[in-house]
Amino acid sequence: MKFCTVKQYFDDENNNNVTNGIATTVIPLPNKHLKIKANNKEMEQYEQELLRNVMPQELTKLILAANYLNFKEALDFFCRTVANAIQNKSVDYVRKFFGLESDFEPGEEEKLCKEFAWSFEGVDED
Amino acid sequence: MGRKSKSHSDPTTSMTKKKAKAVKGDEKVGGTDIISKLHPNIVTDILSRLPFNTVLSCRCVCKTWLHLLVDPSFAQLYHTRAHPCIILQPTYRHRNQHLYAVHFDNRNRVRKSSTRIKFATKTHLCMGCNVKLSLLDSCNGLILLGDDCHYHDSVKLNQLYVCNPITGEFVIIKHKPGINLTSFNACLCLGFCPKTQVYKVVRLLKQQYGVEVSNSMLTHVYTLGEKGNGLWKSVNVGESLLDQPTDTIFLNGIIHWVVRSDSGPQFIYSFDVEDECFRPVPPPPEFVSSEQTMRSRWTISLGVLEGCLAIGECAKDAYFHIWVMKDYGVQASWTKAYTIGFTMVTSYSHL
Repeated sequence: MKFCTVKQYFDDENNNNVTNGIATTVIPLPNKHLKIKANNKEMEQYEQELLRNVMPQELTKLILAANYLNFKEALDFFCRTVANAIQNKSVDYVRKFFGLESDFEPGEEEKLCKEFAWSFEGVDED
Repeated sequence: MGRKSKSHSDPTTSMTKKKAKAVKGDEKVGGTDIISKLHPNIVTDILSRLPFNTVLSCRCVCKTWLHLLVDPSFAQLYHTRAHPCIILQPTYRHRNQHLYAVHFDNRNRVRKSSTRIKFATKTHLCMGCNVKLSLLDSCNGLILLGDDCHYHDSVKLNQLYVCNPITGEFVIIKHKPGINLTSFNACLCLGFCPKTQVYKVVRLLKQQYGVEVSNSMLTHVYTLGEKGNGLWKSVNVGESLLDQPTDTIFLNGIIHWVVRSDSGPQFIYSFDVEDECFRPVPPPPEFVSSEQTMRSRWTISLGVLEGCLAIGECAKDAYFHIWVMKDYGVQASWTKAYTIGFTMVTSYSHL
C-alpha cells in the first residue's frame, strides 16, 4: 500500500509540506509506473518530459512531498534526477542549485580544493 | 489507518525544526532557503548517486556537506551503490606513474572524459620520481601496488602499498626479509574478508631450489590493520603440486585462479581469505569430459559477472564463450551464458 500517508494528508488541514500543485504531480506517478513498468526506455522518456519544465526549487519540493507521503519510488526517482542534474558540475553550480552558501574560512576551501585538484578536471561548464 | 514510519524523518518533530530553520533561511536567500528543508539523509541519498569525482568536489560546497561526506557511514552507503570503475595503468614506461579511472555513469555508458587519477608518487607516497609503481591487484575499493626496482635484468619488488585511490590514503607493507622476490615468481593478491571486514595481502610463491622444483607453494598472508600486527604469516598449503597463479580474481571473500598446468585434474583453485585454506572449485562439467584436451588452460580467464564466478573461454572455433556458475560450488550450475563471435581475441583481465 503506497499511500499510507495520503489519508493523513487529506485529514491535515494545515499542511505545509505538500502543496496542491506538488500533490498533482506526485500522486499520478504510481499509475504511470504500473502502465509502463516493463519498458525502461519509455519510463526514461516520461521522466525527461516530466522534469524538463521543473525548476530545481520545484524538484526539492517534490522530494519533500515524496518523502512526506512515504512514496519510496518517487523519492528514488527524484533523488536520481537531482544527482543526474548535478553530476560533474562545478561547486558553484551545485551551490546555486541548492541555494547554499560557503561557510568555510578563507583558507579552508582552498586547502580542500587543492587536496583533490584532479576531481575538478574536466568538469562541465555551468 | 495509522501512520506508518516515514522514509527519512518524522514530520511532526521535524516540522518544528523546519519552521525554525526556514525563518533564518528566509533572511538569507530571500525566501528560498531550500536546503535546510532537506533532511541530511536525503542529501546523503542524492550524493551517494554521484560519480566519485563529483562527490569529492562536493566536499567544498559547505561545512555541513563536508561532515556528511567524510562520515564513514557515507563511504559504506556509497560502496553499496557505486557503479564499478575500472582502473588502468598504461604499460608505456614514461606514463605508468599515472592511473586512469574509467567510470560508467548511471546509464552504464562510459563517461566522455575519463577521470585521471594522478598517482602522485611524488606527493601521495613521498617517493622520488625514479620509483615506478605497478598495479598488482584490486579488491573491494582498495588497490595493491608494488614498487618495481629494476635490479640487473629482473624486477625486484621492495615494498607493497595498499591504497585507496580515491582518497589517496595508503599503507606501506614491507616484504618478509630473507625471501628473494621478483615480480615473475610471485603472485601477489589483495583479499577482503566480508565477515571480519579485514583486508589481507596474500603472497603465493613457487619456490625453485636449483634443479629440484619444490612441491609446495609458499604462501604468506599479511593482515592489514590491528589484527595483523604488521607481520607476514606462513600458511601451510598441504597440497601437492599446485601451480603458481598468473592472475587472480576475488569473489565473496575468496581468491580464485586457473590452474595452468595440465598435470592435475583441477581447473580452478581458490584461497579463502577468512580461514586461509585452499580448495578446488569445480569447473563446468563440459570441461572435464573427453573434450577436455580441446580446451587449453591458457585460453581461459576468470571473472565475476553479476556476483557469480565466470569463465571466459577463447574457443578454437573463433568464438568467445562466457560461462557463469550460478550457484557457487555447484558444478551443475555452470551455464554458458554468452557466446561472442570474434576473429581475433586477445586476453582480458578483470579488475
